Amino acid sequence: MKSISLGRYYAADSVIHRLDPRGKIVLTILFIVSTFLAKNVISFALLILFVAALSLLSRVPLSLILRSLRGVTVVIIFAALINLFLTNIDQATFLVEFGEWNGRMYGITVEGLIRSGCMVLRIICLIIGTTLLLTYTMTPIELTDGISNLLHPLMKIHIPVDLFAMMMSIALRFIPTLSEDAERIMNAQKSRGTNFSDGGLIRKARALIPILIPLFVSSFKRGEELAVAMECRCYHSGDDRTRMEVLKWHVRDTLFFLLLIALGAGIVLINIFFAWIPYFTVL
Amino acid sequence: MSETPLLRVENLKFKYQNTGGKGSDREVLHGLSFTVERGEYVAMLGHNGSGKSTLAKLCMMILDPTEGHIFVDGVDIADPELTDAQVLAVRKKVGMVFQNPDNQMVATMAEEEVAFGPENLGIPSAEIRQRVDEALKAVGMSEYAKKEPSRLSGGQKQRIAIAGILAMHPDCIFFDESTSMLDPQGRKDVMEIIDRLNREDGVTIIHITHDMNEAARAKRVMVLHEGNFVMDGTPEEVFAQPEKLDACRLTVPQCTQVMYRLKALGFEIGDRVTTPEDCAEAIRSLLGSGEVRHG
Repeated sequence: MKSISLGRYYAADSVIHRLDPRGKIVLTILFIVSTFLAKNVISFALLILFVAALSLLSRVPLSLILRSLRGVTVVIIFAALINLFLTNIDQATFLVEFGEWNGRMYGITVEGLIRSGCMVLRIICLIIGTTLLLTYTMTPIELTDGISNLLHPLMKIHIPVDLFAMMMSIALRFIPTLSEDAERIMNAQKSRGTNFSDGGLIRKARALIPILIPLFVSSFKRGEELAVAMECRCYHSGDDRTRMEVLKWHVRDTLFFLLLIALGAGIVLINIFFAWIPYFTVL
Repeated sequence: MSETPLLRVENLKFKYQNTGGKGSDREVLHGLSFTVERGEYVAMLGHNGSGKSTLAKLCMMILDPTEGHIFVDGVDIADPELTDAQVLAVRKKVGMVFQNPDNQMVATMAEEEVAFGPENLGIPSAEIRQRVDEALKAVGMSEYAKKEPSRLSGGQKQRIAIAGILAMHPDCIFFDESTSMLDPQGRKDVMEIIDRLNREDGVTIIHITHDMNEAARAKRVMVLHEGNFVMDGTPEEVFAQPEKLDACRLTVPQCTQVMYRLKALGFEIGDRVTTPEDCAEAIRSLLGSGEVRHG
């Protein structure tokens, strides 16, 4: 419905959905590290294979997965262009030469192409992998549970982890609601003749004020009502809260964990052993 | 052995403190007294600003009364020295379903939403699961257990909200204009659930509304006007006084009006006609009895 994929859980029953949220959070961190470790065409292939397997196993429709990339299109294009034109390697193989400047040749090189391609792949894998693990297959409540479970030891030094966890899950829960609100307000203002698209940056920013203020007011109102509703349902902080779904570590969680460690280790090993192949090493 | 009434209100007064500095505090409730017994189905009618939502908030301990007492199952909830455990015990007995279904949802999955209340009560996991399944079944939403509330219709969201209260096994449920933001189908579904909860499960219902047709489904109607109860009786008794209701800026349901007009014309109609279905039935029997000729 919205282009913001953050906080949009995709309800389905898949292996990925059933993984332990604590595991998934740690897996995500491992995965992010792995994507940055990949410096080699073979390791990228491994990464893509992993992301493809993850997508298939999660049963999230492809269109939804691709939608998660929409928000980072600009970043992807920017990274691709920078790497394409500014790759600085001695004895590069030029495909197109633009000319010399300050004693250096500028143009499109084979290395630049490979590097920018790899950068694009890295960002795509990163975004798809993390949104699949963290948002599409994990409800905010699970995410909260996972994080508060992982951070639970901090309660010992009187950090109210449970309160932060609840705040975070509510923030996530309200993203779709508030973005619908924003759209409604925007339409209402448009119908009264507010112009959001013309003018310079400052004018555009000023045009946002009639959206932001009603949005603020409505979110405060929603927040207040929610607080009352939560209180009526006996919400209170403390240790005596129980959960319907108690987190259980299964064999599949261990398997996935091992798989990701294998992925990371594989990428590191490939970086070391295939470094001699021309064009293969990227950074 | 006399049973303690579920809800007993004595000389309840409430003032909204004026924080603006201008004008005086506005008193919205001027000394209400009433009792609601276990298993009753009460509709509280009143136009906007009559104090009906304030009353519900007082009963849920969201607001503190300026004066007077509210006893929930014998416990005075106006007592400022109530312990946290007592507060929770009262809130467990009395649930409330709000007007806007969006603003009372905490979770992004229907069943987690329903589980929120029992989780707060510290109920063991296996029992929560059982309660959630039962509650979802009671509102006919079992197949939506894994759905996101934001993808459901208003009526469905409200049914999930009701399930969320039911899972706490309350003795009494307040409905604070819970149907006013719903489409006709959603309204019908929610009203049927409310009726059934009272009829079959004996849950005490206090339905705050300004819809007369909905109020007509209750067994007792209380009319709140300017912070006072002006009428209290069965729907038939209350709706038999359209002038008095008019004075409270409430309009009698259309079907009831039709029945009273017909009665005034000399037709024999029973007193228990408050729903459109009853009304149609009454007219059909009139037509069938030959008292009225066609054409």
